[in-house]
Amino acid sequence: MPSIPNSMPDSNIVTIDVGGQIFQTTKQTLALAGPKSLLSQLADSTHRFIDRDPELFSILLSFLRTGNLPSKAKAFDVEDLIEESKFFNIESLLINSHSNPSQFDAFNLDKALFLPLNGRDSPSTIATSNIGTLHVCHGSKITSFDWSMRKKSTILTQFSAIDSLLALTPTVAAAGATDFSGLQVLDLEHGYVKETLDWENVTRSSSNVQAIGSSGELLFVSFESGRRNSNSIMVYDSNSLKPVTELGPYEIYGADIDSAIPATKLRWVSGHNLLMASGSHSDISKTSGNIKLWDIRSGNVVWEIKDVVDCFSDVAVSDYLSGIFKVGINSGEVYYMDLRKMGDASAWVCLGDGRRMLNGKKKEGFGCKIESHASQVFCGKGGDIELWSEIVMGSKKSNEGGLLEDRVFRKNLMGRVKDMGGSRITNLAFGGNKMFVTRNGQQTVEVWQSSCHGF
Amino acid sequence: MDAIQTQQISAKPIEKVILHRLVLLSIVDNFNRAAKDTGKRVVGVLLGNYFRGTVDVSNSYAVPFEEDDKDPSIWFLDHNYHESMFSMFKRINAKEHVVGWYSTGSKLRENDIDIHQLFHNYVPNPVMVITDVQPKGLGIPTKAYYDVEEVKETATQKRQKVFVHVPLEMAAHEVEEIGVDHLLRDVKDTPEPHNSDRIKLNVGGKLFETTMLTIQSGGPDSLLYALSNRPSDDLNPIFIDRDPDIFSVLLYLLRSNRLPSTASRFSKQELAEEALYYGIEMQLKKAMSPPPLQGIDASVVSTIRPAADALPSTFTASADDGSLWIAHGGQISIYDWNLSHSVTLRTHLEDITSICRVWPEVAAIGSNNSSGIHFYNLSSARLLASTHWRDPSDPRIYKATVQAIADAPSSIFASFICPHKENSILLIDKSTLQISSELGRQSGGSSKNMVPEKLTWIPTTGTILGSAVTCGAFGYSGYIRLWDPRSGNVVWETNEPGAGRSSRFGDSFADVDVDVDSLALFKICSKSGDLGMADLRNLGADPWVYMEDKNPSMRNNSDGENKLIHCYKNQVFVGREGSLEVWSRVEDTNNGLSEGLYRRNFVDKVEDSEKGVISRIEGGGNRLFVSRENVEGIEVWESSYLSGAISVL
Repeated sequence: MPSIPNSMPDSNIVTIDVGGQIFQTTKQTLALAGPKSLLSQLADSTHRFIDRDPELFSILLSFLRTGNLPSKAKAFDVEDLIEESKFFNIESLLINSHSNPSQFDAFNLDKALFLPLNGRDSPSTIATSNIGTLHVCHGSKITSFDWSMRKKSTILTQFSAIDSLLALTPTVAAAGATDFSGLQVLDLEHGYVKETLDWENVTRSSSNVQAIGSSGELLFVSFESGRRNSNSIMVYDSNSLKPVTELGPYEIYGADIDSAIPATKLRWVSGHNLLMASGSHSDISKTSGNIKLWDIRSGNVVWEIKDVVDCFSDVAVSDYLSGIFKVGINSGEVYYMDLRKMGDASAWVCLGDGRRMLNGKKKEGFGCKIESHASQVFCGKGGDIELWSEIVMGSKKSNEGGLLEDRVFRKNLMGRVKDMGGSRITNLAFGGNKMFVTRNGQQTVEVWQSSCHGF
Repeated sequence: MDAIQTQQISAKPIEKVILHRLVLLSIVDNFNRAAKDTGKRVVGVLLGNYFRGTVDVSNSYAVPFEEDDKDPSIWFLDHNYHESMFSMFKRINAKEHVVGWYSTGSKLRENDIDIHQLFHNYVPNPVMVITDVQPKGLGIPTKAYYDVEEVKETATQKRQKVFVHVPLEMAAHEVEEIGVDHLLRDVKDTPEPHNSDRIKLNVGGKLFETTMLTIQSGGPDSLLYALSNRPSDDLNPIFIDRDPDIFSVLLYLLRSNRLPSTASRFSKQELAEEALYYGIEMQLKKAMSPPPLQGIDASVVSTIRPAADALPSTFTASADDGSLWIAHGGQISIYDWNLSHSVTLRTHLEDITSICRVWPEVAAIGSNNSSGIHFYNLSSARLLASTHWRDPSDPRIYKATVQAIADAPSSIFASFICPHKENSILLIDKSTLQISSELGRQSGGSSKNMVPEKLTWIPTTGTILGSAVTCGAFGYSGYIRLWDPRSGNVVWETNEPGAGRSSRFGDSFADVDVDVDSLALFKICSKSGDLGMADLRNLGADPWVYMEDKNPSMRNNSDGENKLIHCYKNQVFVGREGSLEVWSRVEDTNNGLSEGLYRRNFVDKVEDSEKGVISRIEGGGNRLFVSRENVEGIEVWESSYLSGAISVL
């Protein structure tokens, strides 16, 4: 490395001719594009002419220099920039700066976009990926949106309605339905079934899918037999789709219906290496359900709770907050239980108005959805979204040992006045810096987005 | 009218052959590559257009050909090769048809008439162009011929075909002229330009730099290609006196095969005209045309409303490029491939109830309240011919009106009905526009012999499908019939309500359509609203397979009286009153083999269905056109890769 900067700067400066315009930059800037990019290869080559549009190149070059898109990028559609970044092989940089999960800020989410769906079917379930791509099931169709929400594609499936969907890779998803046998691994680009996973049950009837979950390496599928008398959670390897182990099975013996409630929600708790499985059953008089925490390696249930009083209508588990959250079906209030202090049903701490739980048989919480993402818990109640966050009380947190103080959670309603209300929320999902919301009877997906530079 | 006369008339119309220079060049090139110094000849196919007596030969390709030197009756022409080549050429330019064939040599040979006969399978009146590649004298070393049937004095002699000479002209488009000049320069051993070479352009004062590869992607016919072929020692930028901003959009298009968002600053018309100037309209068409039509994911992108009398009586769409001809109030309006209005023409009819595209420029039209079928040239706005159904032996055949028209490669099928209900399908020869034969004449007294209201030509089997339905107090009744026009016989037919054997008695069809690609017949049942499918290759007494409808959101929809069915792009579109639905096939494995599981989905939203009862559905290009009763204009449905996200910030 020459030590005199003034006399030898030329070795570092790269001059590129793009579509007739001359650009000058440094090798370091070009190296930021990553080794696979056309730009970093350009730094070493002698042939420095690129047959592309110079205006778009100047935007990508400022993006490389500063990490942000310059404001003049607004003259172009994002799609132009994405196409151009694909040519230079730096799309991942663009995604990183514009759809990064770390940019998710629950307190700064604006209802930004409506994604319309063609046809008359309302979304049944949605799935997201880490970088914010979205797959929406409506009727027998799955519509996929890219991370920028500009492009979409739709495929037709064999299902009449899809009840559970999980994105395995950007173009592959696992889909299942409670009225259709087998879990289908679908190629979303070309719309065909790559593989069908079935559960061999004792009754030799169909194996309907109740829930799908994933830990990254493992794929969890909750199956129920077509005759609804047995259920099980199958664990598959995410890549090879080979069965790894089976959690269960459970079968009905006599009148003990509770033992045969299939898991309708599966969530991986990575901090504790446990799988949360919850399911509930409702008859005329009461709703009862159970929540289990499974240790995959031993195949044992490490903790289990039977929820009878104000049973959950939905359950979420948060690694960050280290707690299980439920929304009670009668009261419609949010409860939590600390993962470090698990107990029986009496260990639920009601975060809202606890009195409603006692006099409630009104099913205020029917259809409520609860999900955790980042450091918050989101609860869709009717048409509104409650945002629960923990207030960290500095000194009390240091209390170690079994004696945990009562933790402080506070709620906010999300959105401005114009965003409130609306039809009942049917799905809440998170990906990239966005939150996705679907509502009952509406053929659109709402996108709530944290603002970021450039767009 | 007997057969000999018909033949002579049909053979008459070729008056002139125009041969483009590029074609001549490629014939010579073919000879030099394949048959130079072998003493053999080369043979190939000529592509172009036939219009009003003039054959315009604009393209060609060689076809493998062998013949026995001693026995001229032994020869082989690889027509499989020809058919696959032609299907590829069709994708490049759908307007070019097979017009004939060429051969090298100085004179006609004995077996030429047999080879010529082969080309009658592809075009009704083929031309033969013979080129002497080693000319001795001055003048054009090329001659053109067509064949006629020689009428012998005595009837006992076998009828024979002979070649007739046609005047031939050489021609070239301006752009082609430049291109050929440059190609000829190449022939004269000039070094080939390197495609990676950079090229500088000065467009309206703005400098652009690009590569030969990009600039030449418009193909040898484009102006840009022609401009780029210039001596490499000239280092000054090429000056083009055009708008630089539009050029930068088009250059982006050539570089990345898509339009940038900056294209929205210009109108579609502007872009199309500018692309035409540079000779890159194919690239623009490709980038601007919608993605493959998916009924499960389509939305209304626009509604086309003609300026006056905007209530369309009928319309037809081109399957190739999605352009549209609308008949409204006695006028025909043409909308081109990007659906911008190109021309409106007033016809002598007061009300056009059937329209059919016979040639790219010619429409066959008919009306329910005016007799005859009429052929209009839409570019010159002229009535070319009118044809009426007359029968010298039956004076009652008078004032017959047209119900339905279908187009086939060599003839037009039209169903005619007289005021006293007698009806028939008439075959009209495309080259003479005269009636050549009658098909399935019937009295029209009952629902089983009503006039066909819908006619579809099925090219794969060479048959014509006709159907008629009436709705009376006792429900629907009608027939579906398949004719073979070569024999004039009915190949298959079904009448509904039938003998009552079918489990679906009392649920006769309300409409029927044929999917000519997958050779399947689809009907929509009047009562249940179910979709029935029949395999055209395996028709029997009751060939119907009824589709299961599993979509829970589609149940209990109140079925109205009005049902329409239209097959397009392997999907079946059904209009029920105002709502539009689609039955699409689910592929269950990646190898594409499936048992034909169809799923039913709504294409439209509830709001769309309230606009009015659907009166006609037709697909064209990657678009679906829908008209509604008493609603002005025609809806255009397209699929899109764009999400159409609506910002609410």
